[in-house]
Amino acid sequence: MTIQRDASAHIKPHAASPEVQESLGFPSEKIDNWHDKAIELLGEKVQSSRALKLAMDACMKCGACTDKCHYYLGTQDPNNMPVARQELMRSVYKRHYTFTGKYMPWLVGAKELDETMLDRWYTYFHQCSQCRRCSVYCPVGIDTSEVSMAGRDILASVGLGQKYANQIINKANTKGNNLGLPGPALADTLAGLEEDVFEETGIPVRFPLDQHGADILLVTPSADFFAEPQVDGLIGYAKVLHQAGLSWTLSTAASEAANFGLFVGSRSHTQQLGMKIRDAAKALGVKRLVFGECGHAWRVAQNHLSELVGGFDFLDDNYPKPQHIAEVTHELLTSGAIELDATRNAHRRLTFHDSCNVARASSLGSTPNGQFTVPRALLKASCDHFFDMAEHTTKQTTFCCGGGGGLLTDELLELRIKGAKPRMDALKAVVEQHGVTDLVAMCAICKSQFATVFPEYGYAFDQVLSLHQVVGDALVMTPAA
Amino acid sequence: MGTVLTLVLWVSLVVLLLGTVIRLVRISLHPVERSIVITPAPKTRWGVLWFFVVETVFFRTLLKGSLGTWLFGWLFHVCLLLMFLVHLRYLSPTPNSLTLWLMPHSALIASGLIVGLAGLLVRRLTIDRLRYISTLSDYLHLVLLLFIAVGGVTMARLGSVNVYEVTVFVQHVMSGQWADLTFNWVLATHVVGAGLVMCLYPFSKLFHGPLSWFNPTRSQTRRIRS
Repeated sequence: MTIQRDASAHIKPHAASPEVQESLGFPSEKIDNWHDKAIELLGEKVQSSRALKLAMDACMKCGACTDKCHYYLGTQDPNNMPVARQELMRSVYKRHYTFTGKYMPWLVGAKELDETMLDRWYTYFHQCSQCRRCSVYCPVGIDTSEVSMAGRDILASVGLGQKYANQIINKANTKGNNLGLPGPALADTLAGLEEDVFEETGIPVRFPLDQHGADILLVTPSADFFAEPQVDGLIGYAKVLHQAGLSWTLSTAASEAANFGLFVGSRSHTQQLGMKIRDAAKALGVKRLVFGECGHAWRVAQNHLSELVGGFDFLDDNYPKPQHIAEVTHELLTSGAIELDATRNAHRRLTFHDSCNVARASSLGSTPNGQFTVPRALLKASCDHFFDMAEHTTKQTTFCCGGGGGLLTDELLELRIKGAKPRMDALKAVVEQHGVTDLVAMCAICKSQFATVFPEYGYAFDQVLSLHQVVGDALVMTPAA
Repeated sequence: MGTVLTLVLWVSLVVLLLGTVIRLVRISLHPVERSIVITPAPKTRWGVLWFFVVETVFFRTLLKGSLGTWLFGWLFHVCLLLMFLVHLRYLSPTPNSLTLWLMPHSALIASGLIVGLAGLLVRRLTIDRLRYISTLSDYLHLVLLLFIAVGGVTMARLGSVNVYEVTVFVQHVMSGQWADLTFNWVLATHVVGAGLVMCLYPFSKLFHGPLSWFNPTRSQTRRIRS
């Protein structure tokens, strides 16, 4: 595969509106002294982050990462090679903060942050889904997502925020969820789901909202409330929790698990969104905090939330940290509290897409590699026909769906379709070899992305399923539960 | 020539040692903002240590990422280490047993060193992805190392250097004394080149090995539910 310079240079997200920028504390438009401000912020960010400092200093340009990014593989644009993406920032850092870069820029490739470079920052830091597949192959462990997160934050801070992500953060801050779904609409949606499930099963499965005194607060991505196939996953959670006899509730105030603060590299916004969850859990008096199927939400919940929001000392001692719904279901399955009947999914032949933030940034359950084994164990217990995709495309080396990291927006559709190609190639192989009918995912973004790009690759949009949709369909339910 | 080379070696050694210490202290003081470990990861500090031992010895991640770069890169690093051990002969009139064992194989080691470096250079020149990301300094680092290696081989093949005289010279330098040395262009450029690499090492991408030990994507432990 040969490189094609600037092949995706024309793909960039819409800029955030002045209102949204201001609501997040950023300048409403590009500021006059954007250059000096950006350079100052770059210095501060590198100074305060070892990961970023190493990204600036430790790369030996070995090239091991160059053919690992799905966006590079899909577009062939060399700026989508992780090392080249880092170099957009590194070259500017060298120019302003290193001896050789200041006095011999021609020697080390140091460059000025001019209008052209600023435009490249905006373009290519928004062509990184922060999936960290490249980091797995980097001999010095450079994390390109730290570069793109820092880049996006600097851009927003000089007035060049991205519309999609910043608008979503604003909605989550003001309405409680990324969709801007008001409380009454949420209650109405959940009532409708109760009716649907009763019609399907004859069992009164409840979808409680703001129920004080419930044991579990389930925080799930808001896509679970209305989008297909996410909503089928929500139905699956409800069936499992109902069958296990667990007391649970959703929350209007924390009706969003996703945390786009991470995508834009803003600690303060990540913290603010996290605090809403903590406050809701405390206000409802729950004993356990469980997260639904959302990749980066789980990354934040497991790795950052406690530190950001000051811990969860009010939770039950047996469940002192946030849990993932897949962990809960797996525990219930292994303890015999629920039963799964694989014959109910006999018409399906499944494969599983490991979501980046679960696979490479988190763990599940209490055993090593649980993030890989737990979902597969649930699927194998739910369906007799399970086939993994090629090894280098799954587990730690899984390919991103192509829509993660705050890029799930229409104006980036061309990039998303091209970025999905490596995953689609792997899927095609198991479809042809094993007759796989459906791809299962456990991340709201992955599900939306696949539902959108599947038709481009010859699949139906509904051939992507939620993990808990499959589990819910296999669940043996009893009226007495 | 002896005086100049003595000065070169002293300055280089000081820069190398001080630079390394400064660089390590500075990076270790850089704050780690949050957990960004790449999972699955070791769950104990010993596990992390073992990861780095394997990584340092076998370049396992590079092997996973690029077979060609691993092949030439690993060959170069191993041969560089062995060549360093061979050069310990100049530190003492009675070299250690490992150095004595390696000395007869120095031509083979030098060949490996040159093949490794040449392989890395050829890859950088011929693969368009690598060419795109390479700056002048990326090429010059390799060229400089090749230049030093070829100089060493030239001296060994021509037998133009008095090994005894060099040994006495190095011992004087290492004990802080000025020393004389018969003029030899190849030896002079070999030593100056090595001194340049020692000076560049702490302040360039050549320092990637030690820096990698501090990377939070690798040096943090996995958080696992109890």
